[in-house]
Amino acid sequence: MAESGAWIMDLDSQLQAAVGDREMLHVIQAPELFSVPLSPPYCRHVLIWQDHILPLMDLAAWLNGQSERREHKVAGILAFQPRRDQEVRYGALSLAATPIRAQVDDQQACDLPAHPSGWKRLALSCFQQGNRIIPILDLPTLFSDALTKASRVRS
Amino acid sequence: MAHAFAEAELSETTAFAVLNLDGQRWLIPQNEILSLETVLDIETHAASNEGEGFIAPDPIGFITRQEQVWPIYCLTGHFSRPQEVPKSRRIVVLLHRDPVYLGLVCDEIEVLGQDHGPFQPVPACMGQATQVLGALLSYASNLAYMTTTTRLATFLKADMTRGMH
Repeated sequence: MAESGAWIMDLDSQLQAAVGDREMLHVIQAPELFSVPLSPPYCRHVLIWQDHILPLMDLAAWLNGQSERREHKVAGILAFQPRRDQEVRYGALSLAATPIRAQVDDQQACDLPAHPSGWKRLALSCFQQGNRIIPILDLPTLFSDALTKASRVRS
Repeated sequence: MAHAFAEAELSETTAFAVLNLDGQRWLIPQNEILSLETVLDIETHAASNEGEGFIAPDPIGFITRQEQVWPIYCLTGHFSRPQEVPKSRRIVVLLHRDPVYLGLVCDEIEVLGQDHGPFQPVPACMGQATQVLGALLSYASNLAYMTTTTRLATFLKADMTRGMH
């Protein structure tokens, strides 16, 4: 039975998601944010982390079709590699609380939740932890232009 | 190219001007700035060659220089159209990049110093910002947005077409 580490993140009071343990690099409490003009409602800000300018994604806002939350309590700094031959890139995710580390095994695999429907664009797979169903995020897709395109289709 | 980091624009530009609009900082290539004028020089009606440099409707006025009429536009620091021209807008920056001539009112202008980090791409997930802004820069404990005459002209045309304000 394969087992691996994951970070479980509260996106808001209802939604949770996970990333692999090597994808979460840093957690910032009360991050200093800078607004970017003409950016979409779920990604209005960037933050500066180790000289990198990173987008702060409010995934709960996108999944619920809402505007970005007013207060960003916690930012998770994430690393991902779009393809094996490309260099590592970084992004930030707005969280409602500090993420929690967990061990996950294959037997916890389950189907994606039907709602919000946006999960199927952004989740690689899903697992059950207690009574919660937790999608695993596809970070290259999350930080690409995929959400912009999807939002255009939805509207 | 919508999502490409503005490497070409940055490679041909050695110096940038920092335009201050409502406390937001825009970076414009200095070689696209023809001159600085005062808002007192803005005329309500264009001179006889009206239309030659025209790129988008609803300019706040016109300035004629070098036998060229420059339509003048007013935007907020976040690229929306204000109801009226803020009193803080005292300077007109005349921009030219073939085939575009346009003027922009701003609060203050200065030269970008050498002491700054590298230009960084606008994140691909940031939608329309990737088209209007060519790069981001951490500057003076804040964030500055690089744009160009061509990008501004494209934005102004699209903005007016959509009627976004």
